[in-house]
Amino acid sequence: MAREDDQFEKAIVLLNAKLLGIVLGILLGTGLFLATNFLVLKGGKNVGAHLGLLANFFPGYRVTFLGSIIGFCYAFVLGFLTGGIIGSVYNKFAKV
Amino acid sequence: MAPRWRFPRWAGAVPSRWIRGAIWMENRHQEVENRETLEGVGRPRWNIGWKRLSEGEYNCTNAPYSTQFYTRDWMTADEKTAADRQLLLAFAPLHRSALGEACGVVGGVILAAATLVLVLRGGYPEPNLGLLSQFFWGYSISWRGVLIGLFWGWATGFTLGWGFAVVRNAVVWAWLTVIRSRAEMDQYSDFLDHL
Repeated sequence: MAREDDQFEKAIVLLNAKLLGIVLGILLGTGLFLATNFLVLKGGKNVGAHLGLLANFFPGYRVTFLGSIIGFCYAFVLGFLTGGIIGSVYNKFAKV
Repeated sequence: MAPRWRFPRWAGAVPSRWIRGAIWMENRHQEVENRETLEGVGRPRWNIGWKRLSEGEYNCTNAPYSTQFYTRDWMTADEKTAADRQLLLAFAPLHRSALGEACGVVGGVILAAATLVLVLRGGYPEPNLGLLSQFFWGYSISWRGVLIGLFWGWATGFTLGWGFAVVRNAVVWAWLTVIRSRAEMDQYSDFLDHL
């Protein structure tokens, strides 16, 4: 009885770093893709004045349809790296 | 001998007595159900979380938040074999500090890197990341701001990751509590019939 209790308390969840990376990548990429296209479809005088500032970090990104595809790629890579690092660091610390 | 690390109760571990209680209730329910089946007594099936778990819906390939579970390295092979893998997977808590640290590292590096890019490019027009100084005391687009951004990014990421783990563990605990309560209600629903 006490041994089983002990086992339950020892167990912790490990993250799958690759899976987490892919999920975060898709989320970030899709988010930026949708946000960009929303502004494009909305139109106006100065389309995406603020979102366009991302071009400082993502060279080639623009608030256009083509830019949304480029932004998706950048954001996916960023999300994948973020998720991968979070998963790896979490697993390392959790095993200590 | 290295001291055994135990996941502390205050860190959000699901109290094992709840898990054990739910297992006991499920076994008890199965006994009652089998007996009633043999005796031809009809009764609504108890179809909540533990039933699904016992049928193997939660396993290593379709678990919603993780595909692995981990038991401490120093657990003996016997202990690992004895442990119910599916139960451990379903109810094992997230490590709060570890998730906080992981998110903190990512947050700090991202904010420091973004600041560094702006510093190296120079002459960056407003508005820029300097607006973060409204929330992050001392932060600016400068070399000093890179270090301060590293700290604030880490602190923010740590808080978010730690908070996420706390909430997730609390939800699992609440979920178990509901399961146990329903199982107890089911267990004693026909109490008066036996008097």
